[in-house]
Amino acid sequence: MLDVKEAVKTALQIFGELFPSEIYQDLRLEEVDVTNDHQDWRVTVSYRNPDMEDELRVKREENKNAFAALTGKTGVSEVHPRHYKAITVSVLDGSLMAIRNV
Amino acid sequence: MSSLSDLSASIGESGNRTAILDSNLLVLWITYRLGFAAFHHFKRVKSYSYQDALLLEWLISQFKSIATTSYVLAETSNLANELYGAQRESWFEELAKFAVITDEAHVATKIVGLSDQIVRFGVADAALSYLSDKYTLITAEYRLSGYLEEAGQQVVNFNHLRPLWILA
Repeated sequence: MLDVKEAVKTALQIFGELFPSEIYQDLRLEEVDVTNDHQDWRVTVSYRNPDMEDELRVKREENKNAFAALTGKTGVSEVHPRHYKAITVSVLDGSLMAIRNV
Repeated sequence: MSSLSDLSASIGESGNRTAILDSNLLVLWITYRLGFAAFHHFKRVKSYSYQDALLLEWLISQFKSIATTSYVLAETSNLANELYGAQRESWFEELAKFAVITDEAHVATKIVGLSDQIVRFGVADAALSYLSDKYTLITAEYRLSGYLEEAGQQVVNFNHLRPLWILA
């Protein structure tokens, strides 16, 4: 039976095994809860993806230019979009049950 | 993951502010005050460890004071409805004490009703969102904390601090 600390450690370990470290930065624990039937832990993590941020930056720049051309104003602030994944592991033995985008 | 220096920096700026706990964390706080181990069957705190409760205690101590809202108290009370018998009695007595000694941050229902955040976050969190100009919100709700962080408001996501304990 996994307690909450073991559940988080297991989920982070699974995340690290499945996703190469080059694709994520600034990994954060976002939420931990146990399912209603008490069978699984659901651990939600978030991270930044620098590759996708480059693509988004180009698109944002294009949008900003179009916005400025239409309105004469600038000022879309720079935010780093985060990606969220919920990793479900068994309470019994920590085996991976599901990974979902949130 | 959050580092201790990140944590100190964010708390350092908040040191002379008043904080408000969201309802999930208020459940944890009330339970901790009564004795965390006795409530190990309580679903609402099952996803927290004793170290998490100690972290919350430390975090609260970094602020000048704590305030709450009637919405948070109502939601907290609902979350504890699964308790019964003597545990329920002692738990709600502790919540009542908290309500008596804690300052109330008031948000009129009209303001909550007019808020853009009510659909996205619900009544209690829409009110907290409104108050985050004046108070530091301590929450375990990542959708709300992410939204407020992007808006440049004062918010501490409790879960971002937990890996410091969990991975120690």
